[in-house]
Amino acid sequence: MKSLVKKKTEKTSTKKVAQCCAKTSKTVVGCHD
Amino acid sequence: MIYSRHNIFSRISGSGNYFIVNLLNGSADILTPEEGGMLGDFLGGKEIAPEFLNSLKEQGYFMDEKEEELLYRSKYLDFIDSRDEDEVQLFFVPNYSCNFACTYCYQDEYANPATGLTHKVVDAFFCYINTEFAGRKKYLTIFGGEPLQNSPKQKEMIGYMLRLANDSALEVCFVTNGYMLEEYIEILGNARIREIQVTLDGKGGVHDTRRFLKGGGTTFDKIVKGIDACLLNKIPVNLRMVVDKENIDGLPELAQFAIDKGWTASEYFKTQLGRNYELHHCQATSEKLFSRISLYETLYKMAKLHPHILEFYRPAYSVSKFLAENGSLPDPLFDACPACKTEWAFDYTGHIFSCTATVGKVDESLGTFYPGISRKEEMINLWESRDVTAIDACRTCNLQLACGGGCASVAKNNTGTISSTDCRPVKELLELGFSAYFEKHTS
Repeated sequence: MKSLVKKKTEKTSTKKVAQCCAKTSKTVVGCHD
Repeated sequence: MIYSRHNIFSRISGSGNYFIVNLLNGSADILTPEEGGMLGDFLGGKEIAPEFLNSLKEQGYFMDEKEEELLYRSKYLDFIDSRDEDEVQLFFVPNYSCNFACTYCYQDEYANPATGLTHKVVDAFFCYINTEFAGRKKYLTIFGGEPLQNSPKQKEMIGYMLRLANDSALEVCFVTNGYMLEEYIEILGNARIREIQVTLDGKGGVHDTRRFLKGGGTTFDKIVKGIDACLLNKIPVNLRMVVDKENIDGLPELAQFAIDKGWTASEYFKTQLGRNYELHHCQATSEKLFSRISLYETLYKMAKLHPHILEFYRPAYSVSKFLAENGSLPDPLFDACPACKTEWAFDYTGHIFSCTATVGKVDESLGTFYPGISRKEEMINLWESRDVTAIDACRTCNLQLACGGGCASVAKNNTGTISSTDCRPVKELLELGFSAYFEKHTS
C-alpha cells in the first residue's frame, strides 16, 4: 500500500474546497455537469 | 469493524495496480496487484491476510460502524457550517437575447419577454440582494443571453449595473460570447472584475461552424482580439471550450494556439472544458454528444498523444487532480448542487430562480424581486434541503461523498423531482485519473 495523502506537516495549503465548487471554475457550467 | 461504506476501490486503467479512496476519512492509497487481488477476494467473501487487514485498518478503510456514523455526522455538520460561511454567487440576466446562433444553444426555446431591462429593475435587484444576503460574502455574475451587446442602451445599462456593484463592494463576473469584449473594455475597467468567461470551441473554422452570428458571420478572430484586450488590461479570462464529438479533435490545435499566444503563461488566464449535453431539450444530433465518462476517456487518450493539451487544460477526473495537486482529498461533498444555497439567479423580468440551469424557465420561478417581493417558500425549502442525506438512492451509495448527488435541475428533468440523483461516474473517472496523475509514481 502506498498512501497518496501527505502527512499534515507536509501540507502547504490548509484550505480545502469541495471539488465541484472551486470558485475559479464554477462561473457557470461547473455544477450542472 | 466493517469495511467502510465510503470506500471506493477499483483497478487503475491500463495498470495492474489498484486504488482505494475514502472521502469520509480522507485516505487514498495505491495497492499492488497482489493487494488489490486480496481485497477483491475479500469482497467476494474470502478471508483476508491479517497483516494486510491491519494496514487497511490503519488507513481507515475498516472502521467501527458506530465510529463511522459519528464521523459522518460530524463531517456533515462541518460541511453545512462551511457552506454557510461560503460566498454566494448571484447571477443576473439582463436579457435572454443573443447576437449568436450557436448550434447547441439550450436557451433557444426560452420565451424572451420583450420588456427590456430598466433602471427600476436594477435598483430593485441590488436592494433585494443587499437585504436578503446582508452579512454574506457574495459576488455578482452577469449572464445571458448575451450581456455584452453593442447597443448604446445596453452599454449604459451594464455601466449602471457596474456602478451599483461598486457601491455594494461586489466583484463582478461576466459570462459572454466575447464578440464585443473590445468595445466593453473601457466600461469593464471601471468595475472590480473577478473574471470574464469566454467561449472558443476550437481554432478558426472549427469554432466558426458552431458559434456564428445570427444571420451568419464568423466570430473567432474578433473574440481572440477581445481576449487579448482583457489580458492586456489585466482582466482575468476563463476560456471555456464546449466540446462534443464534432469538435473534440480541435482541442490540440486550440491548446497550441493558446500556448503560442502566450495566454497559458498569463496569470490572468485559465480554462475549462464544458461538455455539450442536453439540459432541457433534445438536440437534433444527440449522437454527437459525449457521455460524462466517454468525454474523459477521450481526453485521457488525447493527452497521451498530445501532451501539450495539459498545459492548456488538466482534467479533474473526479477528485484525482485535487489529490495530485494538494496531497490530500477534498472535504466530503455532501451536496454538489449549490442552488438556493450558494447560488441564486435573477432576471430582468423580476423573477428569482435557483440557479443558471433554471433561470428563465417561468415554471421554475421561486418568486419575484420586482415589482414586488414574493417567495415560494415551500419550493425554496425543497431546494435548500437537497443533499445526499435527503436522497434515498444516495444514502446507500459508496460514491456519495465524491458525487454529491449531482445537479438538481438535471435530476428533475430526468425524474420529475429534485429529490433524486444525477449520478456521476466517480469510480470510472478515478480509474482514469489515478492512471493519469499517479501511475508513473508507482513501481
